[in-house]
Amino acid sequence: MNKVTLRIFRFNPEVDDEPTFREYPVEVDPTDRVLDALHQVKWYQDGTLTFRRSCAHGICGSDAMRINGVNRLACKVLMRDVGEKVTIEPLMGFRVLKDMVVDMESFFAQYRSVLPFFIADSRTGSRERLQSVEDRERFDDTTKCILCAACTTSCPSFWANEDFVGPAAIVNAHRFIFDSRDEAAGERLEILNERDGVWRCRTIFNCTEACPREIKITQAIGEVKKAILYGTARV
Amino acid sequence: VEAEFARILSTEKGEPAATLRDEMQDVMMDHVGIFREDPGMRSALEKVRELQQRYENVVVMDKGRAFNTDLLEAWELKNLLDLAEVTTVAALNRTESRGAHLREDYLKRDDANWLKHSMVGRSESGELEITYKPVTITRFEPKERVY
Repeated sequence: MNKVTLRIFRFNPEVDDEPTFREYPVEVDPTDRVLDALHQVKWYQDGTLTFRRSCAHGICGSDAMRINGVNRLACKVLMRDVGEKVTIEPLMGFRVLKDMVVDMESFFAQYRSVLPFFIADSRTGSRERLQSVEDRERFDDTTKCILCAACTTSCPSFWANEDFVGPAAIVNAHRFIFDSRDEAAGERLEILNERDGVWRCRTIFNCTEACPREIKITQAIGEVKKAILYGTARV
Repeated sequence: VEAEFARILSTEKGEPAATLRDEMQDVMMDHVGIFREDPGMRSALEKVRELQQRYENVVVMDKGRAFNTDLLEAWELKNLLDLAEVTTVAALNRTESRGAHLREDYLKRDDANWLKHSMVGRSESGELEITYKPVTITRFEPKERVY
């Protein structure tokens, strides 16, 4: 067991005018996760500490937060990798509702704006829409997104302009634009060609570094840009 | 629900949900887990009912109305305790082994007495009542479990 101090961003809209930082001592094993340390605080020290979490195993995307200044999932970071004093803050760029809980309405509105669902109006009768292994691999990387918002809230272009559709939405557009069975690539490319679409990206690579699923986001965005420029989803 | 929330929020002295939940998890893991038998499940049932009593004085530190996950977790614990009670009562009652329900004191499946679903509800007096529903067998007949 190691003694570690968590320095946690605290803001309660019902009481506070300004956010503050509070320090909490915890005892953790090196193989405990940051989420375990947060639970220790919430369950045994201060029940008012508020954060989202659900599956606790890196797939629901609920507990993305800033850990020592970088966007991470609290359930995927081990205490041995974060030092003896750990700073925990909410994702940057969204309104803070309470402690680590941020308002993600705009994030999901941007996600919905790129038509993140399968569209195919042609009829195949009773046959399935078959796809070759190569065609499936074309968009495999971007199927891994869990919508945790770590990428979008690490993006300086998004910080500067909250109307920027953001890397997460582009990743999810990519997932359908490059799906050989989908028939609405053109529509999505048009949406992303608009003022606050893909061109706000200045290839900064923060998104790629922030992604807990290791999606090559900057590359995916680049592929979408190329598809717009050359008028084809088959780059 | 609103009344229950108000009651929990106004309780000042008592135990936090986290410690009650820890005790529930421990006893359910130890006695109503993979391998089950009568004495263990009886002690578990007693413990769960004790926890339900202690839950009456559950306290939360967060008294606010905004994103109160402290209150939410306390509320969830009440439902978890109900489910722990239902699970234990039904498992104790079923004196056979079937599928994932493995009783060390009744190792065989017993179709003569137990080829039926258990339905557990709460009577008006608050007691749990077990009723049964017949099983519809379609393509897959029950068979001996072999490895």
